[in-house]
Amino acid sequence: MQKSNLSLDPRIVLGVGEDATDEQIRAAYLNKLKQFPPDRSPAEFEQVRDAYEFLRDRRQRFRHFLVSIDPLAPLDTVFGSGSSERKFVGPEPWLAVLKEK
Amino acid sequence: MVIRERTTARSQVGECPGSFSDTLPAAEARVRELIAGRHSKAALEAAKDLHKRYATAGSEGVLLEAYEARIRDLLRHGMSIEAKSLLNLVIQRFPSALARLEEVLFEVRMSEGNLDECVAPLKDPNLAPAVRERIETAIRQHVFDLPALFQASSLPPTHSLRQGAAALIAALKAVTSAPVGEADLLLPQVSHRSPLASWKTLVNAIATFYRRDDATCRKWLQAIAADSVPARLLPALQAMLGSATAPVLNSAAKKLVAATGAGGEALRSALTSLESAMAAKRRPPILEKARAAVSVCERFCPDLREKLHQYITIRCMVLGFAPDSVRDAIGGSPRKDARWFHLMAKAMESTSQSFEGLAHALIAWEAFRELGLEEKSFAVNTVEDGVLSLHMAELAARIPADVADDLRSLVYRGNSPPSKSGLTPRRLFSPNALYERACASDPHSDAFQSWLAWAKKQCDWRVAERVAESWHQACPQDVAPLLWLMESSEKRSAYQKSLKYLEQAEQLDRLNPEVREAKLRLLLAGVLRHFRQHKPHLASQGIERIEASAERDGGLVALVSALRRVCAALDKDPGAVDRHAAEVEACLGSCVAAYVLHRGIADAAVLAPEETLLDPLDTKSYDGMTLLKGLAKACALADSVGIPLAIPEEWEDRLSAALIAPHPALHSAELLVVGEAAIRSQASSLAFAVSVAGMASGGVDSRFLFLRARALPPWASERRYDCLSAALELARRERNTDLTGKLLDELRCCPSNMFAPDDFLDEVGPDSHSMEPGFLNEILACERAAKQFPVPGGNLPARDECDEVDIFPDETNFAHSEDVLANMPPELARELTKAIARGAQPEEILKGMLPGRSGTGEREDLFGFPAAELLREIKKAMAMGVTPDDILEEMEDVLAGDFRKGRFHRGVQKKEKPGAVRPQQGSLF
Repeated sequence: MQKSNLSLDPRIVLGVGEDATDEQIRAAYLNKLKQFPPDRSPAEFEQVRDAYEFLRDRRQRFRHFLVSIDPLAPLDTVFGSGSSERKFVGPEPWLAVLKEK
Repeated sequence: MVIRERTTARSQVGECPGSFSDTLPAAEARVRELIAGRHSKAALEAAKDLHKRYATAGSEGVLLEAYEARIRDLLRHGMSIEAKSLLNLVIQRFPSALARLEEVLFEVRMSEGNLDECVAPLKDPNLAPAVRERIETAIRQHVFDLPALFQASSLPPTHSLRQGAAALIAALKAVTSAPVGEADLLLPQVSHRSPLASWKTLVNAIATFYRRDDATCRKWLQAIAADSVPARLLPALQAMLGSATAPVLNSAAKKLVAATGAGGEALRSALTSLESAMAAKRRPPILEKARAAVSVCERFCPDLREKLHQYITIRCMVLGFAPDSVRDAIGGSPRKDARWFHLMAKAMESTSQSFEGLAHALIAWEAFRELGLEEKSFAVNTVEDGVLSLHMAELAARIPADVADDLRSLVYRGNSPPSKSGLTPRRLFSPNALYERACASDPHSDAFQSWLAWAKKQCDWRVAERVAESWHQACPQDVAPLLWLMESSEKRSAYQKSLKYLEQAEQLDRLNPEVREAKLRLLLAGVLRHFRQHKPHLASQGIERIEASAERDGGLVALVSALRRVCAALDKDPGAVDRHAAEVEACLGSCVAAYVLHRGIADAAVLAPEETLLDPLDTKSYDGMTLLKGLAKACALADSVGIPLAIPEEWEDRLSAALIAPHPALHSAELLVVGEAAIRSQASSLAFAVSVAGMASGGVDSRFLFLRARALPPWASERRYDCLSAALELARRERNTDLTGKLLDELRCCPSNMFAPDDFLDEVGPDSHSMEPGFLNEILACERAAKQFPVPGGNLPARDECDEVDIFPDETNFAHSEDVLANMPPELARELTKAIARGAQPEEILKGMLPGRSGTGEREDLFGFPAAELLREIKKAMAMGVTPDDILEEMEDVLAGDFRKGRFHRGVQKKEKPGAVRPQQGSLF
């Protein structure tokens, strides 16, 4: 079984979930390519391409899914998604709250 | 809800002066109480009765209040038509109250989407201040649809309300979509007296929230009018700021909190706290923090609740908590779905220190599979199913077969097998069944290769043959199964069959280097077999085929000449022997290399030196370095064609001396070839010296550490384990998968301490064998510094732990040996102890125990057994590839007096590892 030689979790690199389909992975890849074109961000592009190459293989993807889960990992990293950013979500969710008395 | 309201209201009305015996103020107060309690219908009925009885201005005011409350209630329930009808009715009945009902009229219009009409009066600059204020209040309290306000055509486009609404729409979009500058927040279109002023404050609050300036954000929130529409966001924003007294959130607010990820911050904080408690391993704080974390999760991230339950339960299980206490703390048992068993399986796999734990992990994986199929996470007989089964097979392969038999009954005690469509308990622990399922679900080369690698280790060669056959059927374009079948047939002397497989492999890929190499080996094996059978004419034909099949490089020419030399010797043709010998020397450029090659071929063909007309080399004529270089050259050639050369015993000291010279003039690859030959020849001290030279010359540390680990004497088991682990770590860094595989195999058979208690075999180390960088550097420094072959209590590495590792001060560390020694005569025990201390080889030990110590004469014996014969048996065993451990084990029986003639050989046969060389068949593999 070929092993990943990625330093980062390919799902995190592409920003896709555990159950992402082939189409979602491809869409995420194309989206990242726009973000990191090879001429402007060669290092990031390489990482994105490696992650895509890894995840597009169903066998590797499922193997990674099986072994990457870590029940003993610190809970704050498992549930914190590794990010403490406050996400910009646009006005709709805010206005939805204002509609309700 | 409605029923409850009615019941409660009736009871309250019943309590209230239904008989109207109360005074008017008391009755008014009771109606207002009902309004405050949102029992608008009951309040209206009571107010009607009250007004009917008293018919005063006061009672009318109370009735109007009740109507207003009822209309608002109807609006709240989305019944705007009913609300409007009721309002019209009230206006008709109480026309004088129109001004008072203006606010609720505004709300009704708003609910109809008729904002235009509501705000229309504001275009009149002479509008009465009281009316203006009422409308503006209504806007502040009820207008949430800023685009509708902006589009209110009843107001001129330049009206401050429309301009303010437009500016606020843009500002809200900006602050919720990306970081904004201060200029975007000024909003000069919205004055502080505007009914939209609170919106401006909200925009600033949101901007500071995203800037993580929480203190300023809280100040902005305080400035929002409590009765304004923007105040509806206060609970959500307070929750997002991690308010200690977080209010109850409605569904929209919960969604907002989850979407911004701000709820995650609160959860993360609670989980960090729980993690710290877990690190301290103190039960009460852990359960308390777990409860708090679940509570935060339920409030802010309800979607994560089940997942969190599962993780916390698993972590607590690993910590050894009783399931009941955890369940009570977190408010219920986790859902037993596929994810639960996935987590369980992984936890058991990574924390298990016993084969029983691995068995439980296998059961959990099977349950994961069952539930995954049920939940349609993947389907049966798919790539995913294959990958999972392959993983399970590799796990099952780590459990020895005899242990698996015991575990099967142990782990299923009282439990029914988990699978309906899966494997029975018997087959669940069977790597073969799991590999079979994996390869049936997802037939691909990697899976079959893994299956074959496992099968090769089984005693029964037919298992591996079946696997190779299955592989060939499933992937007919792969040459690997054909090569294995060829190899296996050759081992069983089915030469014609092996040729057939070779032919098939050549048809697939004639240029494949593996196929060409295998062909050369097969042809060579045939030649050697003919040598053994003393059929030089048949051997000559084979040699010609070798010559024709391979590219003629220097090495092959030398090999062919060496083979022809043996033919000539068997034909008793000294002239040809000399001629071919000269050719070999010329090709290799070294008499020593030529001699080693001749001797290796003679050994592989099991021919005595006199049969091959090979005179012993006069080693005195050559210095150590020449011997070393010649040996390296011959070994490299022989390795490439699969002839396992042995190093002449009498050369070892001189070679070791040459290796410690300041500049041994051999590069790493040559050193490694010599090192492997030394290991094969049981020349541990020489192998150790090679590892010293290799590490000193800056060679690849992983390979030389691997060599050193195998060179170490059996008693240095812990040091050997450390060397293997360090080599593994380095091999992983170098991405050397071949070496990594060898090291893992070695580590699985290598207890860290051979003198551990008897049940050590039940322990299984972590499969990763990962090593901290600091410890790795320590081991490297220590091993680089170690230049002498270890002897107990002697040249110890300087590592701190070495004092504990390598010193065998006394009885404790020799406990196991003592068991053996106790069963033998004292003089033998003494000799054996000395020999082990020297790190001597088995035959050296035997020699040392011979009474005369004068060599290997036929008359010398050990307990009545001719020593020379015994030594020959040992040498044969070594030539067959029997490991030092096996030989030592047999030696123990010998020394304990349990030896009978021939038993040694039979014992070796019984213990022979799959794939081990069988000289009677002349295998080169």
